[in-house]
Amino acid sequence: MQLRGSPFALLLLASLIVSKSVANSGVAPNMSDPFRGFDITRIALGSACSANLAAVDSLPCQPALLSAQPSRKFAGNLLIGNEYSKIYNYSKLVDDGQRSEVVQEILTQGRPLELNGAAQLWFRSSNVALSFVPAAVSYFSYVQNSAYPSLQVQAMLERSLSAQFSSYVGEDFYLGLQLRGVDRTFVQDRFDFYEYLARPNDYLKTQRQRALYVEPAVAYVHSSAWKPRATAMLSNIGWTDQKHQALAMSPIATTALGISPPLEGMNLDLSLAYRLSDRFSGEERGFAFGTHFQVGLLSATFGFSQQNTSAGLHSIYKKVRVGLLYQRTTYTGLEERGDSVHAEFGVQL
Amino acid sequence: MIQGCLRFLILGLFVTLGACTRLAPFEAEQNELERAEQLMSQGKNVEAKDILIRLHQQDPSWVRPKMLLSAIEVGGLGLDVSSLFPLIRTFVDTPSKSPLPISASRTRKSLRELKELIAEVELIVDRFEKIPTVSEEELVALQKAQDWIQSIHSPTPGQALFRATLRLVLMKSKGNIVFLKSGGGFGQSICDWKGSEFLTWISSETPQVEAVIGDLTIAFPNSKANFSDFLKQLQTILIPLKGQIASPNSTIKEILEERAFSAGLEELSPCN
Repeated sequence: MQLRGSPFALLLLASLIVSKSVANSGVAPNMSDPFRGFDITRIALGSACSANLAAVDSLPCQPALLSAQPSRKFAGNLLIGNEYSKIYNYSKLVDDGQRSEVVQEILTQGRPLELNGAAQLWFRSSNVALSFVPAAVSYFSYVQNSAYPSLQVQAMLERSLSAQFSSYVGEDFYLGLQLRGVDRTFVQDRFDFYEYLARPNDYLKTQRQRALYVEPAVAYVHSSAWKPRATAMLSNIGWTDQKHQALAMSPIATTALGISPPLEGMNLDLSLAYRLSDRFSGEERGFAFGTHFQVGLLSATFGFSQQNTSAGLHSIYKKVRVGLLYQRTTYTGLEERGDSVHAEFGVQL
Repeated sequence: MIQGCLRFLILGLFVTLGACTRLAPFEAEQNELERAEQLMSQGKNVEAKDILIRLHQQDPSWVRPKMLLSAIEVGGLGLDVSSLFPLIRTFVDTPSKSPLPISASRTRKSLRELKELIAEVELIVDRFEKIPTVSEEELVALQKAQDWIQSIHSPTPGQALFRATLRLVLMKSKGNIVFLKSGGGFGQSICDWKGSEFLTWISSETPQVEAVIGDLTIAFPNSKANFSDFLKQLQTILIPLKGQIASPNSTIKEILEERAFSAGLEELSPCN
């Protein structure tokens, strides 16, 4: 009994002790969200993925669950967002030294613009998972107050290598550990348009950060038909070579509950997560609900949180995986909502 | 199992209580300011204005509420700030150039120099053309916007630029109203302007021009020489013109043609 309470207590207490306040960077999504996925299932579920068992055709975001749903797979996938061409043009302009053109484009765009894209190779077994992301792109820009415009721009190109380890420790408990090595080049700025006009060289500077994250996790999965479970994870802790406010090491504690009602000929997963951190704005900090549903070749994923509403559909046929995700994002304090569509192509080897 | 769940709930309670910490007073004001900006983005300017006026009354030295109050006044006018982007860059990027001397003697050389000067002034006018204007009724709101930021003593480069931009719009709008009333306007070449009206207008706006130059110097200290040259160029065109106006209805072209004709050098008239 002693063993059952202590892993959760340790993780949550550790989070309380080491959490520190980090200024909220406006309406922009968090750049170093550890639950930022590189496939449709994970993006749709958000932090609710941390109690998901059914989505075995992607990597778990909660490493302790690796052993709870053993599967052996090696796959590669590519994720592209709908605003890809626009962002590609921006990056070309920046490369050509035409940053002012980009600023002018952003200024006329009017609504929040967000994009995610990634390529990923991953392997999972019952105890170990490895993932290599040669390129993950994320972009967000928004113009606030057109009379005295204030621009928020963040763009990041990230390479990462991750390893997950998981082990059953008895009495339906699993322990897990995730190690993530990340090399990121990014631009993160919030500035007034007039300040930019006066000092263009002081803004949109490219920065670099290399980080190593060590993220422990624990899961309790009751060995009954419904697999009721509770998980806890401490993420976003480790070391960096450069300190940046937008990418500060600040612990995030995520706890989640989940069940998998046994249904004939289909898999259904329901999960509810709560995450706590000073790092995130109010909407990102709270609850997230997710469900993953699989019938035959088709899988559907739905996710709801205060910030995102997502619906994803994907199918695997003869080892080829294709999927589509629609996501509606509500930004803190804004009436405008961001709508995005992502497509995923993958091959399971 | 029940004991474990209870521990979990108690910890959750502590976690929630820990998250509800009281905000520092300045942080509360910052949040209010952020809220006002968000309201402005949503077009809820009346609510935003109430918050900003309250913040301004609490701390009149706080610059940001003043800037935003000014922006609210400008916001209602529908001015397209992005149209000013290329204008400001060209103005700043112009290499520093010594003002052209206008010799009192009516020689071929001095007229050539005068012609070059006119071309220079036409370039300035061309840039001036790109500055948006507001109607006579909207001038009140623009003047209010200007008043909010007038009292900022140490503006940042961006704030100085915003102030300079507003002054330019205000200045041009006032001038435009005068010229439109007499059947002209800034759409015309400088050669077609009535010399007397131009002089009256530019003389009345000289303090504004100097204030604009002062703010632009804060915004672009590296281009200080360009702005000083601009002032000198303006003076070099104004001083000889002042003594040349024979009739109040003479255009600048007529004034300059008169000068060239009396020198026997018609072919070098700057407005040809």
